[in-house]
Amino acid sequence: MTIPTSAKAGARGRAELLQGTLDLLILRTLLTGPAHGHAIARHIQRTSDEMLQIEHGSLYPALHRLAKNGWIVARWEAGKDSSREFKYYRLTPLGRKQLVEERSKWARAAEAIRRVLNHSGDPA
Amino acid sequence: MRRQRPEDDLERELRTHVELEAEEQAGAGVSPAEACRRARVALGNPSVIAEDVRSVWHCRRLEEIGQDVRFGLRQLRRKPGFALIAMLTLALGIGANTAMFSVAEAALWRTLPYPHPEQLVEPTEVDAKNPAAVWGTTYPTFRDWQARAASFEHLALMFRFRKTLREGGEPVRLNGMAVTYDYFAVLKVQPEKGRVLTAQDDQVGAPLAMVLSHDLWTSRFHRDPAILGRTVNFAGLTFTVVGVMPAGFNAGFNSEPVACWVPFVPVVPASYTQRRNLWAFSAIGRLRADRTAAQARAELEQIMVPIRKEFPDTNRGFAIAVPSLRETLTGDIRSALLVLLAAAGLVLLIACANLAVLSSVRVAGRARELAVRAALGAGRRRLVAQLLTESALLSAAGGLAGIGLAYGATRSLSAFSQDPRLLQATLNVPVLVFVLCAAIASTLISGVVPALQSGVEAQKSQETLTSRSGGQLRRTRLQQALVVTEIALCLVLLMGAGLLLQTLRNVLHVDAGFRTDHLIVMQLGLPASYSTGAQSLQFYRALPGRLSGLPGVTAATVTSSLPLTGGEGNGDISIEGRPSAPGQLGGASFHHPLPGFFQAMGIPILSGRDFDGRDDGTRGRVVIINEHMARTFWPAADPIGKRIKLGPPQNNPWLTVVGVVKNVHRRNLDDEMGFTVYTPLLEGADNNADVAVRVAGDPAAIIREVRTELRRLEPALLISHLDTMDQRIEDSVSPRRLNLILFGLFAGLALALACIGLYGVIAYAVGQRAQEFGVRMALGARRGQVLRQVLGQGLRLVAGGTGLGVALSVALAGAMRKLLFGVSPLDPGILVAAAVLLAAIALAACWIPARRATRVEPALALRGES
Repeated sequence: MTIPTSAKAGARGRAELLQGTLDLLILRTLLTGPAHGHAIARHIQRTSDEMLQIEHGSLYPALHRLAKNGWIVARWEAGKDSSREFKYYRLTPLGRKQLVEERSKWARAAEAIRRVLNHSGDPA
Repeated sequence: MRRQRPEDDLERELRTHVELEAEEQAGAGVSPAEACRRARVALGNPSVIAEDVRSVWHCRRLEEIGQDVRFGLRQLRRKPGFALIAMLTLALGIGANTAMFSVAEAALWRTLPYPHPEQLVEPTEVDAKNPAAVWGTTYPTFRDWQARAASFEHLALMFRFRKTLREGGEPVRLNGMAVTYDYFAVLKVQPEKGRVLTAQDDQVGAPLAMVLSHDLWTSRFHRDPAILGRTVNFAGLTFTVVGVMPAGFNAGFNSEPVACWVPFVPVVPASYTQRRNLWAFSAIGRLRADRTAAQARAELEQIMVPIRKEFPDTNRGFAIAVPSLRETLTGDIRSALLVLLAAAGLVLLIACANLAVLSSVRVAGRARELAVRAALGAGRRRLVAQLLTESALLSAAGGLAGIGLAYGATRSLSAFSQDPRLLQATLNVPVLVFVLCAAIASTLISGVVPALQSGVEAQKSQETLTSRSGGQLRRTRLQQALVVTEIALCLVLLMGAGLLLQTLRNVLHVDAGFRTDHLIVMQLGLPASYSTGAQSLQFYRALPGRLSGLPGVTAATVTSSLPLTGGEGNGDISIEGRPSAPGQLGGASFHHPLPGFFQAMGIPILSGRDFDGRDDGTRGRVVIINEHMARTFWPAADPIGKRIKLGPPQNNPWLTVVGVVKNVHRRNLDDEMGFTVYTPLLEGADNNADVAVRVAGDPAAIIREVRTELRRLEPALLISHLDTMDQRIEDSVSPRRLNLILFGLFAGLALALACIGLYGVIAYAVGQRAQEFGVRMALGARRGQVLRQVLGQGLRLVAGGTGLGVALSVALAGAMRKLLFGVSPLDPGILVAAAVLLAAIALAACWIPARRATRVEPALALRGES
């Protein structure tokens, strides 16, 4: 099963989302509190200064997968400013643990990439 | 909150998302309709998202499998021709494999009916230079092994003999086995009734005990419950039955079952057991759990070092081998079965490749359907699953039909083979597991190619919907590669069948050395009332005269053992004036015929004379040798008048060579020629002899009268193996004939399948290019040109496949070597013949679609309607 996790680098200056990082970003977004799908996408876009464009189509399969893994739970609740109901997702304790793990994994990978990029001298 | 179906829930979630997005867009000053449109575009195709989310929900998606099966069945029903061919090819492929596997399983892999059968070994002395020459061992050497070897839990000695049983009906010749007492401890099998033989039975002067096989107890004693304690006359001795073994116990030894077991020491003559140079026995042992056969071999070699030093007689370039019981039981048929199994595997592979080609052609034809389904939201995975389901359905149907086919094949095997090891084949659990694996393998092999292709097709849904061909080139390449592979594998099988055919012809064309036609042969057993050799001899001497008096009989003769029959003795050769170590000059098999034997058999006497009535040992011992022996030992000189000895020189007399006769094959036509000597029957005979009767007309018509006449001479006479010599030769080549029949069947199947595949590809290509052909013919191309072009395309595939097939045949040649006789596994004549046959038939398969190409109506083609 292929889940498209990379957002298209549509506009100039936008970065492609690395494979598997969408999960991390969703979990991190929910750390600040419950949110519905649209809000999650907006939040990621906004906090990355519009650098990361989430393809909305790929968001929902990811959300459902995280829910299936028990990292987040969903419930229909009334929105803050209206009488409409939205499906809110929130982090579970298991999800918090997963976030810590994903985060350190990401940090290690980023550090490793940084070292390679900053390395000066002969490859031999 | 209220429960809702997950589908509705998802739908609602996506709808709220679009609403929110639209509100945001509207806030930025876009018209409501445009905002709505933008929001939808931003989200993407909701049904694709839903599909993706759904596949997150159910990993297995059972409902889809049900749908796929129903849809697959509908698809197959719509194309019954395709479904039928696919099922038939798979049924044949799987059926051939299942039948072969069930035979191989029964003969090679089925667990032997003994506890821990892997510990059972048959240690033996073999020729160090030719380990296939198994000598068994001698009794004193066995005793040394038994006393000193620590590798065995138990070690026993066996002596197989064929003697007459005169109990419970007509006298009959049976296989008996004299065994040392721990034989049953080696095999660890309990008797069905009574007890097995013990150490008390196996000593000098003990009362003669006998253990019956279940079959003998059933066939001759009607399962007499009071069998224990009953006396039985066998081999001229009176035994007391002490036990009955369970059914199936004796089935394992050799291809002929053992009817009864008797104690070794009281039965085997002392003259056999005292000699260190009589290799008449086989050992069987059970390895200790912590020892391997290699360790046992090393240990026995150590034990042999001082023995060979002390008894130079035993030192004749031997080595020890410790084959497992399994190896000794199946060594002669193993390679044939494995090669046939591999051949069947190739057939299945071809069948799968074939199905892949046909499905691929079909998928290409269904490109638009697939594109439509993709556009309607079916995920790529779903399409692949759909196509795999279809090939799984076909494989399942093929597998079921294959089981039926295999059942029929194993049932009718007895028409082609009498080998009990093969006839044990049944459809048991391992065989059914094998069928399952074969069906799964063929699903994957035949389904994956079109399935992957469908993924490509579906991705290109947009272009496919509008244009008429997409991914054309790649698809064609793949089909062509499959067809080339089919042709190559087919050539390998044709080559193998050709080699086996040549082998059978070679064997049947071997000059037996005597006239095999119009010859009736049999074994005689005189009753115990003929207690001296002189009495037996008197009977034998009268035989030729009495039988020749029958109408239609031209000659009759008696000998100790006939050619192509086996059962002769073997002794070391010594030659006067040529000192040699024991066994150095080799051994000769010996036969004892009546005077007139050579003439009756049609064996030419090359020099010297036949025996006559005065050669009874009283005026000097004489011998006739075969041509091979004469050429080997007296290449330049005349052997007549030379003197030789047979057997240990210290206790055998000199024999004067009086004649040289043409070489005769002793056991089988494909045997290597050995040394043969003949000494006169008149020097001494016993109760057993072979008789040959030469007739003028049809031997089958006269067999009964011969039997009647013999019974008239001696009512208690035991007549066995009454046959024509032609029948006996036919029996001796029946394993080779079976190999050929099966291999030929597989090659024929492969050829048919490869042609169907080739036809499919060419027909598809012609269909694709109909428009082009039409245009070209409209522009003046002649039919012949179009025909040549299409045939040329087929020819390229055939040539490629043949080339690859030749390379494969070369690579696989070694595997066939053991099954061949008188022909090289790379015989160029057969290779060329196979390639030409294949090419001719394959091109014929291309002819039909090529003709169709020339019939395209230019006008229709131009309008794109053909």
